Amino acid sequence: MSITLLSFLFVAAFMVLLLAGLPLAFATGAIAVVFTYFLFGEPGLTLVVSRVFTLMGNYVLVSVPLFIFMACILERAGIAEAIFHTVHVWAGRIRGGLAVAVIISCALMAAMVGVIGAEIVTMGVVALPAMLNRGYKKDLALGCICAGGGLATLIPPSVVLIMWGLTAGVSIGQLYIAGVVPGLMLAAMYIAYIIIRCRLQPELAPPATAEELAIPLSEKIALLRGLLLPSAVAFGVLGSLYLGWATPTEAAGVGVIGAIVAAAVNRRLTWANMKIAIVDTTKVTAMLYWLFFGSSALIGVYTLAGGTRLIQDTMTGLPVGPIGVIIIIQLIWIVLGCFIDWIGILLLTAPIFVPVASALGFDLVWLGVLFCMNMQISYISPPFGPAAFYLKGVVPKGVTLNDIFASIWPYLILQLAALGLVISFPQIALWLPGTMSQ
Amino acid sequence: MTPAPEPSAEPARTRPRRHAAEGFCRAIDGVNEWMGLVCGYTILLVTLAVLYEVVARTLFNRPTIWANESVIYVSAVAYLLAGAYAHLSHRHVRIDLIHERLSPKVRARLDLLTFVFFVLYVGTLVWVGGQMAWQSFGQSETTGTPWNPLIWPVKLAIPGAGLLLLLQGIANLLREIGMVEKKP
Repeated sequence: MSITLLSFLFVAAFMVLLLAGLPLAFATGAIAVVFTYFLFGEPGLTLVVSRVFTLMGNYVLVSVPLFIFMACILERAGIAEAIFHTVHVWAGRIRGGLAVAVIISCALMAAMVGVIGAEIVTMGVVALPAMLNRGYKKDLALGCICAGGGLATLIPPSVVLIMWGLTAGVSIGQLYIAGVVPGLMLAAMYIAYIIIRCRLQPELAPPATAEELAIPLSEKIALLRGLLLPSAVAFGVLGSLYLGWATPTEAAGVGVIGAIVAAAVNRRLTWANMKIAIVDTTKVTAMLYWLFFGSSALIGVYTLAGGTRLIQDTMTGLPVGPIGVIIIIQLIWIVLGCFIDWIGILLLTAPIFVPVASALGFDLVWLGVLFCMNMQISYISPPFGPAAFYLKGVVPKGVTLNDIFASIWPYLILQLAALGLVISFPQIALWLPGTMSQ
Repeated sequence: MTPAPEPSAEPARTRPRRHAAEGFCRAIDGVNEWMGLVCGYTILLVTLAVLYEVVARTLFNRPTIWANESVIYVSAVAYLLAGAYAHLSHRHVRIDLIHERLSPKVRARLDLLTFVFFVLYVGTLVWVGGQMAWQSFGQSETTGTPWNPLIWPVKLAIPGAGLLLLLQGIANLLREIGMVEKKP
């Protein structure tokens, strides 16, 4: 059978199983088993199992549950509420200050957690009522929460970047440091947009009340103390990676201890909270591990059958030049991002695109940052952007899913612009890791 | 909790079978719930081991030979075995945009179809993984690192996890096709 026909059958079988409702982790595994048996017979099935076993011996994979655990503890510790309260008091005088506070809080939270969801829910519960009560228009209030929540993908310790590092075989430390500048740049773009828009249309965001503005400076400074410990945790994790003191797994382990201390200081360190954090960590990590096993088996058999080679040759042979190939990769990611979860896209496309980009001489750390920026787009883009659904779960009555999706367009455009910038000027991502001690 | 009285329209003879299926589902749920929690708590051990290694290496300049390797295998085995727990709580990522909109009857048929493929995968893990673990046990295979632990317990986790997942898959299917009432 020709490899082209085989590739077609692969995709068709995969789509049918996925749409029929089989979880991604099992659909990939099942297709790997069927095609392995068909191509190489029963002895070939050891391939599927040994791919699972090989992944089990991966040291960096251990950092995934640790970073998720750290995020779950911080979530339970009420850190996000504390951060939002402080930032909002400090940003009180700015027009649209609450929306700006949401973005800053999200960026700070993103430096501590590596998965989206928790921040969006927290901001939806804490910041959204605050904004609506003050008379902010829905359009402004909803969009900033969705966009800000996505920042956790790019700003370390992002789980997306760990998965990219594992799949592409590049240093997690380098990836993390590379995500910092583009992440901050994106946050700055969101803030600039909010401030300019509120300048032009002051009716969107009524100013803070005199009472809110009258908070004395001493009280404002006292609030800052609540930020100290979480910031120390975030900088400790990032700094030890930047300076090359710790492996990602070790940094994550130390981060867990820091999170526990932060929870204790906030008086939220109870056994009940820890148990919830552990249960959540277990479910999310088990899901990620099984996805990894299934897609690794699938990519393994597809590569052995020569399919990966075929796609690589086709892509490098396209008459669009190297940068054209990179743009095609972005388009594929954006389209897939509308339908499949980031982890599925990463595990299925990275093994194919990474050798292509590598052969064309592109930096794989840079490509990882581009991937994260794409996944931010997929988080908020209709029709299935998960950020919108997370937010929908906690919004007050009268706010519809359509309201949420209608509010994200400006941010979508900013994200595309940022993506274009990082493609045109790779140094935005690569400058900071270039200064790391090797 | 006492079970709700069954509708009288139902033929009496199906009752015992229904009870058996319900008992089966509850038992499997219980096993995987317990297994998931046991596996989950290993994160505390893993954190401590990572911390121990960091302190031993950076403060005392005496890295251990066991910490990294044990952390790797403990968490790999834990999250492999917890796969069924995640399945119990429907946490495995899937595309449900079409699935959710179908009538229960069509949905049940699709679930039967996908279940066949699910069994092919986890069955392979049980059968082929079982053979590999047995072989490893017979040869007393070790990892070949300085610490050099036996590796068969790690390999045994693959068929073990496959079996737990298979059982949970059956329990979930029985609920999906309506043989057993769904959990509230």
